[in-house]
Amino acid sequence: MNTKPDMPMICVKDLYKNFGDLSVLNGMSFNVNRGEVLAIIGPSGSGKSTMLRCLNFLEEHDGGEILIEGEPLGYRVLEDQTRVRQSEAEIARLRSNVGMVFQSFNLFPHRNVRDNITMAPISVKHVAKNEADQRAEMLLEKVGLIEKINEFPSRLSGGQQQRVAIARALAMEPKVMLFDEVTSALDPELVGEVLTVMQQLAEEGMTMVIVTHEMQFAHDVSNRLMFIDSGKIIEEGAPADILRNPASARLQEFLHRFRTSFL
Amino acid sequence: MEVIIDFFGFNFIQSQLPRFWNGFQLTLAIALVSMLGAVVCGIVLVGPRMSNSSMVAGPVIGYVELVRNTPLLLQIYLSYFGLPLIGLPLSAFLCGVIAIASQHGAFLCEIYRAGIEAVSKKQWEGALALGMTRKKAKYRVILPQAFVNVVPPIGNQLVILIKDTSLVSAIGIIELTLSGKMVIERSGASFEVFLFIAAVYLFLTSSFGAGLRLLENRLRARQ
Repeated sequence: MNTKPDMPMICVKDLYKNFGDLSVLNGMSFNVNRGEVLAIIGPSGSGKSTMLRCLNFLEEHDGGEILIEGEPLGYRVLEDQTRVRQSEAEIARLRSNVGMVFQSFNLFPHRNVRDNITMAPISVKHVAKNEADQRAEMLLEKVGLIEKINEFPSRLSGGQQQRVAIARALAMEPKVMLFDEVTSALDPELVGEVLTVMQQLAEEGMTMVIVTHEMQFAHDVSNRLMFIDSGKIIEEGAPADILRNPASARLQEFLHRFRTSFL
Repeated sequence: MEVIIDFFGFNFIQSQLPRFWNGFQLTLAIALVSMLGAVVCGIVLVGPRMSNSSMVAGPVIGYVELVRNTPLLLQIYLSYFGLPLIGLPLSAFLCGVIAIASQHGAFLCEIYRAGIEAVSKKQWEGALALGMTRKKAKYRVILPQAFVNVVPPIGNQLVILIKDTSLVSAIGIIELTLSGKMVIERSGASFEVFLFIAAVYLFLTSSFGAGLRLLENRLRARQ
């Protein structure tokens, strides 16, 4: 893998995004360093999911710049500040470096677990089928689902589907993983199995950006926590500091709604 | 028992079977060629129909609306009497097939479109997030799922197509319905003949429907 250790993995510069008249992101700037786990918290409608989706260009930003290992994503900004949209092939290539796991899994229901995992490596990265199969088996071992390799997604529980979705994203050997409220659609009993896999990934040094409502998890796993509201970063820093001593009234109010037994 | 058999005219029908057989074969041929034509026509139309460019989608929408909202019988007449006027004197069989295939192709185009649009946007996102281009996502993720969605409505449409083949009798093709009418003109046994013909259409459409249900069940069982 071609890595550029001196650059931040993700660099977001002055990001703006509007939906019609509604401004969702209002000039957000931050970096995510290699191996860092950034957790993003915030109230509903604060723009956290939109921001995450911008990081692999599922949402197209209206202003600012996103760099993945120094390489612009979506638009190139020319010297005269005009923006030129990248070609679809270029965007697809950049996306293949950024794994994403969704709230509702988004597994392909017409293919079994093995095919879900091997489809993209074979068709996008042109990995040989037997090699892709071996990697799928290895990843399923890792997420504890090797016995489900020939099942169709509809035969799996929510937690199992989400673990397959994580394995599918990892099969592309991404440089960074994005997690968009991946436990929000799960039965509370199934949340733990997904968080365990994510924790394991974090310990292995995977760069991760996690949008979550799981405060305890954000506290335990992330290196840095960011609280956003109205499309702006209100506070960011070490999770323990932020959660124990919130500086802004808005974060204090937000945290008040959660049980703070972990503090 | 003999009275009942005679009431339904089984003996009479049996004596006329060779005439019906010729008509049945022609009906089957028209139905099969028209089905193939309609399925292909729908596939060719659905791409431009779903284009974001109104320059591309507009003419297809116009075509679909025109063909869907005018009677098939009229289109059969137009192709039979109109095509020779523009230098295309085709056989009655071909004219009938073209008219049926183009009308049902327009309906199928809309069925395909609805089937593709019914696949969740999240499936697109799942595929794109893995680095697939829109084209790869379409062929590997979206269309296979859309296919499962459209099998039942395609089946309905093609059952209607089978029944619509009777309309080509209007341009003198001696298919099943017209062969029956000719037998009636000679014998006056209208009740027995129409009942028999209805039973043959029922056999054709229900066996086709059963085949499609089998396909549908197999496809759904894989998910």
